[in-house]
Amino acid sequence: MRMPEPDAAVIAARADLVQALRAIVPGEGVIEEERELLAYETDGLTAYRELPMLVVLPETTEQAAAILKLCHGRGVKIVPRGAGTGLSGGALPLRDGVTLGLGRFNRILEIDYDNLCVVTQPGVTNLAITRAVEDRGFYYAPDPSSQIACSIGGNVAENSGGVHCLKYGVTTNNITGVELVTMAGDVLRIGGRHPDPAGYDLLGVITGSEGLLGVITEVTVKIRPKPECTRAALLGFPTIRAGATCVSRVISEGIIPAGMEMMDKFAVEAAEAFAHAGYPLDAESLLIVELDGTVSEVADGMARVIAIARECDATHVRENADEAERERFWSGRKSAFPAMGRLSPDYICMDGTIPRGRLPDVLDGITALSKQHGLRVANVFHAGDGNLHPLILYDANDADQLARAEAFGADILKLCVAEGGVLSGEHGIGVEKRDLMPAMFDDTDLKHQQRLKCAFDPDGLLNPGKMFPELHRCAELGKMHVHHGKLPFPHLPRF
Amino acid sequence: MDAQVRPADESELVDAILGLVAARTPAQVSGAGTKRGFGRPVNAAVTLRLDGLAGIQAYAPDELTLTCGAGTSLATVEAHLREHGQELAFEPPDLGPLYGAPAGTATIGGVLGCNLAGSRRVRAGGARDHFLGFRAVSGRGEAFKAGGHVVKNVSGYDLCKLLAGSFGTLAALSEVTVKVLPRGERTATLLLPGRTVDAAVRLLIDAWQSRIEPSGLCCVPAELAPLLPAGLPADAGCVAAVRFEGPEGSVRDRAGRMRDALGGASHELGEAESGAFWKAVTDAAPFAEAAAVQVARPLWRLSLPPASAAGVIQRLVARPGGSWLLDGSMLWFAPVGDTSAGDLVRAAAAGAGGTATLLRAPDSVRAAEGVFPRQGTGIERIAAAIRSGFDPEGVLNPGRMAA
Repeated sequence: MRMPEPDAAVIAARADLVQALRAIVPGEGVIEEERELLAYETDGLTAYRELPMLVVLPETTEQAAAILKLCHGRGVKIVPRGAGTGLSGGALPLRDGVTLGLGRFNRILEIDYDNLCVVTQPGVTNLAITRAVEDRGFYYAPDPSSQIACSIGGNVAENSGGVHCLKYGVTTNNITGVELVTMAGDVLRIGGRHPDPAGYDLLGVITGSEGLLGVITEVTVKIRPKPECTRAALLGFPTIRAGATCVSRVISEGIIPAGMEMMDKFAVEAAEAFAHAGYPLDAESLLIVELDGTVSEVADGMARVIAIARECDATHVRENADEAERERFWSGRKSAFPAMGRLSPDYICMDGTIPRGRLPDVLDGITALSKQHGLRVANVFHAGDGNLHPLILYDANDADQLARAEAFGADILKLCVAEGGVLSGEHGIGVEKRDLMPAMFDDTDLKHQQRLKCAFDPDGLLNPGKMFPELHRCAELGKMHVHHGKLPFPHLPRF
Repeated sequence: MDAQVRPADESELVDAILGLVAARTPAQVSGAGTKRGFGRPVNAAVTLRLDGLAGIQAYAPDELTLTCGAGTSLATVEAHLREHGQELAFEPPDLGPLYGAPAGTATIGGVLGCNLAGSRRVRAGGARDHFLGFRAVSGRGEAFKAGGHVVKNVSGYDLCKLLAGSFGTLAALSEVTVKVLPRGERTATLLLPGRTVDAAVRLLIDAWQSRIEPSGLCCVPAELAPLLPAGLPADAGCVAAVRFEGPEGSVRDRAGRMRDALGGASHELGEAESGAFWKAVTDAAPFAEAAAVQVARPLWRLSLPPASAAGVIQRLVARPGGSWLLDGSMLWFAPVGDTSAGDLVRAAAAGAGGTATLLRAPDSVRAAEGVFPRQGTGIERIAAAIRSGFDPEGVLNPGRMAA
């Protein structure tokens, strides 16, 4: 993976930087020993590794601001890191960079039930927020599969989704404020406990900015009352197309399920062997449809979903009898990834989104690509919102297989874009899809995105090498190629 | 001279903005021009009208997305969706009448550019939450795109959020893609009269925290009684209103449970009455009456942590005094007389952790006081840098958001 050229002068001044950082974060908060740095060499995208120059673990916003100000002054690059579970390499270290870990920001600061929000430090895990409020009947809605480990600050940086986001939205729809430290060390408080902060929606652009705009040191998240009732159905279909049709019909008829997940036959077989979830092994596609709401609404909705499924030739229809069975339905889906781990030494998980109606054709395309690249693929999707997670199986010890897996993944994402979709639904661009950005955006699009970056970090010190295949210099981006007095378009009307 | 440019497609829009840049002439960027009074006054001799960029381009109900020209009228979009049993869930308000413009003429681009949402904001989120993708021409005269045509996307920065609520100061939208959702089959509204402000707000918060999934929470003071259907006692005090939407059985069930839980007197609005009531609340209709006379009367919109609303209302009613309407987290407030009472209103909002926007006032007042809340030098410096990156010559709505 091509990364920015390391700055030899910065590396040469490492010892001096360690001393200056220790003055800000005393004790074990500055890590310089190689064997300890190894713990930070990769994130959830383990195919790429790099040893950071240093790791620093501040405990307070003041420390974080001082670190950033120091590094800004010395021209030292910063890589922010939450729990390190990201799947696109957003926290991949730089050899001449300081990895700024937010793991010590691990406290929930305030639970404000009357304003339906929780103010928390960024290192708190996604699930810990729900755990903190569930005894009063509330929860935090976005639920990425890694929720037991991933941090809320990382969720903000990546705009994480989950299985329930068709109905309840992704991270950006569920937060109302952040505290952010800029690369220059300014502490900004954006938003609060009220909706729609005035001025440009900086909260909206920071969410999903993959650590390129600032370091998040506090988050205010919305909490919701837990639905009164949740029910799920397991639906098996004789073809992929029949399952996809069922998904479209459910939505067309005005039902927005809390979750609607699809798995292909290979994924079903692997998950069933691993989790014994009771999945039908003869189905070509399997749907889990979950509805939540009041008891009567869920009962009515489920009756309609099942009627639609039967009209779509479902061969297996099973509604959960009790909570244990609902959890069993999900156990297979949730173990789809580890189940792949039993079948193959390595896998990569792709993350494109497509218009849902294109699903059968895109799956045919993925099958063809699988043959072309000579690698197996299992398909799991958030079917409700068209977010695909093809799992490509390969052996990382075989360099040729890794190269083929990467090429296969890139071809899948290009296919998604060609079918009217996007490169990433919820995992982010990071380093993984960085070089594919031109498949979706032209140079003018990317330059406009980078002008936002320039407003926050004109020197390009924050997480460089991520998201953009090429970082233009901000001075160059600021120029206007129109010369005053010389009209480039003399035929245009003058005012 | 007040020149008007009305491009018919994106390439004409590019030419128009390049022309502005070359001539160093700023323009007022507008859709149908219904909300020109929202924001600081723009000193520009040219109006760049985007309502020629109109028409539905793609709509697939089962994909939950719609793509159209940014200048498409909201009425057209909504009628199109209604045919398929869908809607814009953020319930875009029609604020034109607040400024003396005719009702029903606003454009989708204008609503997104001002990031306006109605009463369903409490459940469905704001306009920004439903804005999936766009094509636009920046102040550099360059056409660009961001976002996508699907409901879930994290590819690149979320520039849709940046443009939502940017009041045409960064780019002129040419095409937008929005998320659409099924309409609830039925609507019912419970009116709960005879409450103090404190009690009414408490009731709304309780409903919000409960599992009965309200989709509208508003509090109407006695002086706005004409908003309400006849038959409620005149001395009713505050009236709390709670809306339920969804399948018929579910709406009946949830409304019934709330009524039973409260025990006291309540009044239920049926489908048509409900529709009219929430449209009036969403559009802040009480503040648009006799527009010709009132169009210069200062009107504020406060965004508040919901539980703080009662305290803010009491504080404002005591000083400077005026009329108000609470819609979820949003408080409308018109001070008595012709003054904006800016210091008092901003202090009340800030004291509660919220913000206040001077939604309407004479040009001179908006120019002098500003319209949007100040955010501190750190944020304002970044905002200015974003603006100069997208519109380095300041040709798009200069001064509309910040002096």
